[in-house]
Amino acid sequence: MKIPFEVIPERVGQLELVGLPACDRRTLPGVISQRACALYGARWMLAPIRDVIHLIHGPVGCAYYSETVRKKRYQVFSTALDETDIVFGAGQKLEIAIRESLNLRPGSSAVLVYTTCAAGLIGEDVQAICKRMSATLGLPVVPVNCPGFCGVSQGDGHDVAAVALLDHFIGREPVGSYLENHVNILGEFDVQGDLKEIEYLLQRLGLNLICVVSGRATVENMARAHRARLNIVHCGRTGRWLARKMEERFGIPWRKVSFFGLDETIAALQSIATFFNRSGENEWVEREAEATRRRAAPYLKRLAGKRVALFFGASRMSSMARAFKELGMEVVLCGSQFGCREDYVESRRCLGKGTLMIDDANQRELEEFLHHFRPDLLVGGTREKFMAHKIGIPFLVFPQETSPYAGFNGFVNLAREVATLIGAPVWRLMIPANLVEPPASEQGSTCGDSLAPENGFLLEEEIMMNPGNYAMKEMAHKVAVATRDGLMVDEHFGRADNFMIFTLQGNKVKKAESRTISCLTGHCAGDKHKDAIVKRLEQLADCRAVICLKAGQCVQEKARQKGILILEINDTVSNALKEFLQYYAEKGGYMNEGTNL
Amino acid sequence: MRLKEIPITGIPYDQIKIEKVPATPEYCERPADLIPSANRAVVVNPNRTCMPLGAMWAVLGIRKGIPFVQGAQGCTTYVRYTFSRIFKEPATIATASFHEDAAVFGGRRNLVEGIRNLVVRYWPELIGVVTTCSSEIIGDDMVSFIKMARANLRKEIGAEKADRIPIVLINTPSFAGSHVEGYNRASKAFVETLATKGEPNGKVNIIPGLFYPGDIREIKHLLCHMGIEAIVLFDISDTLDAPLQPPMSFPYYPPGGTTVEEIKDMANSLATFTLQPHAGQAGASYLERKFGVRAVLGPPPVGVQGTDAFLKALREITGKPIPDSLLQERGRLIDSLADTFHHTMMKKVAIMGDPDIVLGITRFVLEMGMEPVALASGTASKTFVHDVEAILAEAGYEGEPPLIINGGDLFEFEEYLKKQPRLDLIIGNSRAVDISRELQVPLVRVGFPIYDRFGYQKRPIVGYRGGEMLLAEIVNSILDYQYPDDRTQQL
Repeated sequence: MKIPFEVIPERVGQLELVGLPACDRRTLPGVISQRACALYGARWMLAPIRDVIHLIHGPVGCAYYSETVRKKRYQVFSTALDETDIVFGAGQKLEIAIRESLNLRPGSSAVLVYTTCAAGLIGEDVQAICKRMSATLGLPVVPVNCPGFCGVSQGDGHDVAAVALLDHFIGREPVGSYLENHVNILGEFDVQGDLKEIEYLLQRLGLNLICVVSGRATVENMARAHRARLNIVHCGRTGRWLARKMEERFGIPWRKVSFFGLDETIAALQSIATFFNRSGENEWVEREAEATRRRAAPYLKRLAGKRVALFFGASRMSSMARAFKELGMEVVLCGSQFGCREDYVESRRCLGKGTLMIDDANQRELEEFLHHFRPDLLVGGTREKFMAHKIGIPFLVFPQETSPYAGFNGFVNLAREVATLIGAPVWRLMIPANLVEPPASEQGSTCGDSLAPENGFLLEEEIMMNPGNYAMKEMAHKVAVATRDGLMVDEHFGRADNFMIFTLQGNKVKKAESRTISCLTGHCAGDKHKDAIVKRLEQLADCRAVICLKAGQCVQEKARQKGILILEINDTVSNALKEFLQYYAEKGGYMNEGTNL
Repeated sequence: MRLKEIPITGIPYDQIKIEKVPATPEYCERPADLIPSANRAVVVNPNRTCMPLGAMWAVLGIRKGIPFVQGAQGCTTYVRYTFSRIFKEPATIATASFHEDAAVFGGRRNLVEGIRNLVVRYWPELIGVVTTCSSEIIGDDMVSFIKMARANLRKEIGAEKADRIPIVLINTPSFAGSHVEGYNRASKAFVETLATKGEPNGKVNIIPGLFYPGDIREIKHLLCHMGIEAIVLFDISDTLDAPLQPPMSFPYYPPGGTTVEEIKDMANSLATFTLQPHAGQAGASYLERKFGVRAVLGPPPVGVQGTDAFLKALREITGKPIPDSLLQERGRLIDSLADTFHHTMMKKVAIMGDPDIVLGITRFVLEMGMEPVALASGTASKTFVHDVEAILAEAGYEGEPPLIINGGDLFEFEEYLKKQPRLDLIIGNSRAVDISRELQVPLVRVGFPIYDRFGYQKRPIVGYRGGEMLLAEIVNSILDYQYPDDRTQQL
C-alpha cells in the first residue's frame, strides 16, 4: 500500500498506512502547522480552575489569546511586558503584579504564574520569585514553566501543567482515611456537559466525585484528591502521567477508560463496577445500552458505509475511532497533532491496517488527503474546519460545540449530529447545477487541468480532446463514472448508488445523465452478493466502461463476462475520462480485459 | 407572543438557573487607586493584542500571499484560531516553529529552511516574514537571513523563479505596540520594499486598516459610483470572505487580494487614503515623503460627517463630482436618523475598541444625539485624547465629559461603568460581551474581533449604507432592551 500523494522527505515516517507513525518529532519550519505551543497546552489544562488567579507573565498578546480556551472566556491577569521590561528585566514587575492581582481579587486561594517565550528568553528566575512570594503571602504561588518554544507541541504544556498540579495542589490536605465510593476523574474537561453525563453514570454505580482534573477542579477539592478510592483516567495524554504519580505517592489505583461510544461506555462501567465489587450492575447497563441502540438506529442507517477522517489533539482518537466504527462508518484517517506512541498503538489495534495515520499533519497534507480520499466527514478543530468546507467536505468540530458526546446520551447525540451534518442540504446545493452557461468550445480546448475555477464548470462543459490524438470510432459509447459530487471519482463500485453517464462521440465527451443504481453490495463472499453484482451490472449494461475508485475481483470477473470494462482510477472525473480515452486509443478500441490504471 | 417556556425541554423561564461564575465569591469594592490601569503593573483582560496579528492580517490581503511567522508555533496557531473564528475562513499562515535550539542558537536555520519548504509546497506570489517577541529578543538578523534564504532558494529552484517571489520583512516585536501598530508597520514595510516610481496612473491608494471585508466592499462601491479607480492595499474583501464554489484550485488559495504589481504601482497614484490612520499612516507617510503621493489621514468614513469628509477629499483630489446616487444614499441615511432620533437621543453609551473605530463611532453616535460616557481605546495613541476632544467640541457636546481611556484594559472600563448611574448601550467588539451581561445593557458589535456572532464581518459600518445598517442595529438594540415585554408597541 502506498500513500497516494507526495510527502516531504523530512516527514516520511510520520504518515503510515500500515505501521505506526513516528511521533514526538519537531515540526518542520515553513509548514502550515496545526500544532500549538506549550502555553496553549498549559492553558488547555489549567484554565477551568476557578478559585485561583491566572497570571500570564509575558507580552500582552499571550494574555489576550490565553483568555479563550475551548471557546470559553476566562479572566486572565498579565504583566504585559513592554520594551523596558525586556531590557531591564521584569522580576520586580512580576512581584508587584502578583500583589496587585490579589488586591483586585481577594479571596483567591492560589496564583498560577505562566511563563512565556519572552519571559523565558530574558532569563527571569520565575521559580525563585514565586517561592519568595509564596512565603510572604502565605498562599501557593505556582510557576507554570511553559514558554512557547519548549518541547514539540502543546502536549508538553499539558505535561508541565500536570507537574504543577501534582507538586502544589493535589493531596495538600493532611492524610486522611480513604473516602469510600469516592473517585477522581483525570483528563476530563467538561466540554458541553460531558461531565454531567459521566457523573450521572457514576452516580448510578453509587460513586461520588471528589475532583475532576480539570473540568471541575478547585484548590480545595484537589487538596482532598488523595483520599479517593480510584482514579479514572479519561484523556490519556493529560491524565495518565498524573494517575501513575498518584499511584506512586498515595497508592491510588487507576483505570484508563473512555465514555465515548457505546461499547466503550459499557466497558468503562463494567471495569469500574468490577473494581468496586458491584454485582448486578450489568443489568441496567445492558438495558440502557439497548435503549441507546434503539434511539440511535434511525441515524445509523444513514451512516452505514460512510467514510470518516479523524484529526484532533489528544489521545481521544482511539476511543473516538471506536465510536465512529460503532456508528457503522469506515475510518480512513486517524491523526493527531501530538499523539504519543501509546495512542497510536491503541488506535492501530482498533483500526487495523489500511487506515492512514498521520502525526502532526500540516495543512497541505490534510488538503491532499481530502482531495484524494474524499471522506464523507472530517472531524477536527476549528482551524481545519473552514479548509474542509472550501473543499466541500462536511466537518464536525471535536471537542464538540453543541451537545455532550460522552455516555449513552452522548452516543445518540453523536449519531444524530453526524447524520445531520453529512446529509445537510448545503452539500447538495453547493453545485450550481444549471446556472452556469457552457463556455464556447473554442475556450476549453483540452481537459488537462480543467479543475481550475476559471475554466468554468466541468459538468456543463463539453470536454474536447485534441483531434487526431485518439483514434475513436465514429460511434457513440457510454461510460459510467462512480461519483457523488461530479468532481472526483470517489465511490467503490459496490457502494455507489449514483453513476454519472457520459457519452463519447469521436473525440467529444458529454455528460448524458445521472443514474441511480439499486442493490448495494458488500463483500463478494456469498452468492447473494454475486447476484447483487450481476443486477448492478445489468443496470449499466448499455455502458462500455465503468470508472470507479475500487472494484472487487468478483466484479471484475462478472464485468468481463458482460463485456464491460472496469477501470479503477483515483482522480478527478475529467482526468479519469481522459485516461480512459488514452487507454481506449492504445487498445485500438478493443477492450476486453479489466485493468487497474 | 413571548414564550412562557423553552419549547423543547419544557422548563419554565423563571426556573432556568444560569450558572454565573463570579470573579470573587462575593463582589467586593476594589481599591480605588488600583482601578485606572496606569496605576498598576498588572493588566486584567487586555483590550488589545500583539503586533504580529496585525501584520498577518495585512499579508493575508495580498493575492496568494502567505505570512511566515518567525516564532514559536503558538504565535501562528493562536492567530489562525482568531481569524478562523472571525472570518469563518481558512487562514494559511506558515510557522518557523521555534524550539529550544532556536532560542539558543537563533532562528536562521528555521527561516532559511522554512522559506524553502513553504515555497516548494505552496508557490506563493509573496511571502511576508513576520517577527515575534522571541526572534526580536534573540536578536535574529532578519535582513541577512532573508538574503540567505533567497540564495538558498535560487540554488534550489533556479534564480528566475526564486526572484519572482518577493519576501517582505515586517518587524513586529510583540512586547511593543498592539495589533493596530502591527498593521501600520506592515503598510510601511510593503510600500518600502515594493513601490517603485513610474508613470502616473491616476488612481488613488486606499489603506483600509482593520476594517472587515464588508467595509472594503462598501468603500469599493463608493469609489465605483465616483468613477475612481483605486488600489486597496491589503484587500481582504475576497481573500477572507471567499465563496464556497467548487472545484477549488489546489493548493487552496482564496480568490482576490492585492497583487504585487498593484503595490509597485502605489508610488504613482494621486493620493493615499488611510481609513484608520493608526493602522496605515506609516505607509501613507512613506509614500508622501519618498514619492510625493499625498497622504490623507482619516477620518474613518463612519457616519454622515465621516463619509462626507471622505467623499469630499476624493472629489478634491480627483476632480470628479459626487454623483446623485451617493447623495441619495446620504439622504436615506439622514432620513433614517430623523426617523429614529427620538429613540437614540440622550442615551448614555460607552464605546470600546481600536482607536479609529472608537473615534469614528463616537462621531456617529453624537450625530444620533447620544451621550458618550466612556471611550476606551485598547491601543495607546498619542493623538487619541486630542481627537476625541476635537470631535466632542465639533459636535457642541455639552453633557458630562466622558472618561477617555487611552490604552487601558477592560477591567478599568468595566469598573468605571459599574459606578455610572445610567448606561443604555455599549458599542464595541466581542470582548465586551461579559461586561454587557454583567451590567445588563445591550452590546452593539463593531470592530475587531467579533467571534461570537455571525455576519458582522460581511456587513459594512462605513459609508452611508453602512451607517444605515449600524443605525438600525443600534436602534433595535435599544428597543429590544427598553421594551422587552411590550412587543405590540409600534414605532
